[in-house]
Parts: sequence; structure tokens; C-alpha cells
Amino acid sequence: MRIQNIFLILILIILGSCIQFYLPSITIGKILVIPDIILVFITYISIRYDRAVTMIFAFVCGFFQDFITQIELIGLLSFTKTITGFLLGNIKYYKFLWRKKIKLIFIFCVYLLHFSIFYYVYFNLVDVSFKTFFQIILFQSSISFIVLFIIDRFVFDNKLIT
Amino acid sequence: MNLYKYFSLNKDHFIFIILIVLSSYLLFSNKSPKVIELKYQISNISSKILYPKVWYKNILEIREKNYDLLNEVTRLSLLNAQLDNFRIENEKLKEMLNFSASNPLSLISANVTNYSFGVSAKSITIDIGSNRNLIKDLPILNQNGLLGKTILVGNEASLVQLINDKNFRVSVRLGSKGDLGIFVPTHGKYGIIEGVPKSTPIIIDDIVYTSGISEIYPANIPVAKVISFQIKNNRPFKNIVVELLADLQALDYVFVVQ
Repeated sequence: MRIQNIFLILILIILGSCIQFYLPSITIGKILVIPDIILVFITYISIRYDRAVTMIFAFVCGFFQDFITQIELIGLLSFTKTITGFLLGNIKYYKFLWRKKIKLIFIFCVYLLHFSIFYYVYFNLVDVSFKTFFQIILFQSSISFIVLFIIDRFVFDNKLIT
Repeated sequence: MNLYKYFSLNKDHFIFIILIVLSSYLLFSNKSPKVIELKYQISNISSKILYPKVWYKNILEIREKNYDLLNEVTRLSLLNAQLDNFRIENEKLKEMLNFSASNPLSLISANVTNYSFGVSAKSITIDIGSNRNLIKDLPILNQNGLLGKTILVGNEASLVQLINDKNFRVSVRLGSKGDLGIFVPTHGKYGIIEGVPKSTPIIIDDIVYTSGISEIYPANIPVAKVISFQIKNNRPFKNIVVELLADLQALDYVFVVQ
């Protein structure tokens, strides 16, 4: 990997953590929902770089995010983000095999899985009903997916996910 | 294939495992209630997954226990056969010695209707008499031991002389050798055993039973327990102090031995 790339990744980690820290939150009922920008950055990394880099980036970002958002369950976001990084790493492998639609569906499914694991541990399915749990993960995944879609459309001119 | 090449080929998976282990370690080293709950859930799931293994292990253990029990049953069967032979042999020997078969005690239950705890004479009245074929000099006992004997029998009531009555005496056996003595009440629930030789081995808490050398009391009814004993050089017998087993203060029901 080139030094410029490492430098870019480091900038992304710092930038992602800062944005995540200052991002406004949305309240659904009594639950606080914050759009996961780091997840979008991981998706970007997974499209640009190979799976090992994505996983390490995801782990480090998750670790920072643990410190920023919830210190009570430190390690949880590192765990979920590593799994997400591993799965999103498939996009690069199947770059020429999957069509754009399939890639987008796959990304959305990975987001769903990421938030399912996170909120399953976070709520333990005790504090909230299954319906609310499902609504939250769907809402979180949709927001992150929309952010990715906007970035792809307006920053990369529909060339990020092809 | 050398290790480096193997690692290079599976680089992604190795990194994934290392990162997952690291993040899991971070997560599970927390002491928060949510992590404890998660650990509990994981252990529940793993116990369900591992159930077939446990089940198989249990089956193996059961087989092993079954084998042990089979050995034990065989051993006990042999012992039982041996004991059965001893029983037959014992019956034959008894027959040779003209032993009479001992009958189990026939008990009639009775309610205590009146108490009389005088200074010397101590008695109770029970609610059965000659209407239930009671006669004079029948032993009275409760679940703990000997209480006394009938001294006066009416049609529907009987007077019972209690064991702590000053004039009450009963022949008893005690010690590992079963030496004879006479129980004499002294005060309250205490009494002494007279006539026990110095050589009789006695220990504290030994139970004193009726000897059976009497027309009134059948053998082996518990009477009292030894609480202390002394040996004096100038006396031929032991001084044995006993405590009555039957509680004389709370008598509601008694049994008459017929």
C-alpha cells in the first residue's frame, strides 16, 4: 500500500470520528438515533481497498466510535464494524460479477446486520419490544444507506458503486 | 506449503479472526449488566448446542454406573443368600434350644384425662378400663419409652402409677453386656440404677431397657439414658444416674401394652 493511501485512511479515521462526534442525533420515541457516518466510510474503503485494509480500518474506527458514543459497551462497535468490514470486503472481490443493484442490496443487508448485532446487545431485547427494535435497525440502516447514496451521487458522481 | 505462504493466502481470514478475538476480549472484559446478560445468553445458547455432547457423556456415565450397580446387586444378592442361610440356621438353633417365639407388643391407645403429681405419689388417669379388657399391672408407655403401669382399673377409666412415683421399681438391663439393675426414681425426671456391678462397662448416653425378668414389663422397652456414673471403692456397685426418656410433663396420649 502506498504512503499516500495510508495517509488518506488516517485522515478518514480522524475525519470520520470527528464527524461522528459532532453529528446531531434524532430521537425516535425514547431512543436516540445517530447516523453512522463511519459505516459509510467503511463502505467507501471496502470499495477502494482490499478486505484486510477494510477490516483494520473498521476495527480502528469502531474502537474510536466506542469511545466517542458509548463507553459502557466498549468493544461492541469494534466487533460489529470488523464483521461489517469483512462482509463489505466481498464487494471488491465480486466487483465485476455483481451488478450495481445487487451491490446496493448487499450493502443494505450488511448495514442491517451491523445494526442488528449492535442493538441486540445494546438493548438485550429486554428494554424494547421486537417491533421497536426492528424499526430502529431499519431506520438506522436506511439513514446510513441514504448518506452513502448522497455521497455517491454528489461527491463521486455515481462512480463509487458501479 | 510454508507458513508464510499459507498466511498470505488466508490473510483476510487471519486478520478477521484476530480482530474479532480482540474486540470480543474488549467487549467481554466489561463489567456492565448488559455484557453480563449477553454472556448469560451466549452460555445458554452454547449449552443448547453442546447438549448432544452432554447427553452422550451422560449415557456413557449411566452405562458405567449401571455396570457398577450390577456388580453391587450381585454382591448384595450373595450377601442376602448368606443372610438367608444364617436365618435358617438361627431358627434351627432356636428350635434346638426350645426358644419361644417373641410376639410383637399389642398396644391400645388411651387419652390422659387427669394428672396427679403429689410429692410422693404420681399418677395419671386414662380414659379406658375394663371395657377394653384392661387389668391391673399392665405396662404403659408412649413413643419415647416406659411411663408406668396400671394400678387401679375401673370400667371406663384406669389409674396409672407413673415411673417417677416414689414406690415405682422396674428391673432393667444396661451396658454392652446387658447387666441387670433396678431403676429407682429419685427426683423429677431423674433416677438411679441400683445393683449394677463395678465391672459393667457403661458409657454416658447408654440407653436403659426393661430386662423382661418380670411378669409385668416385657423386655427391651426403653426406660432412661445414663447421664453420669461413679465408682466408689467402699461400695460394691456403681452409682448410676439416669434421665427418663418419656416426657412426663406433656402427656396427652399413652399406650397400654396387652
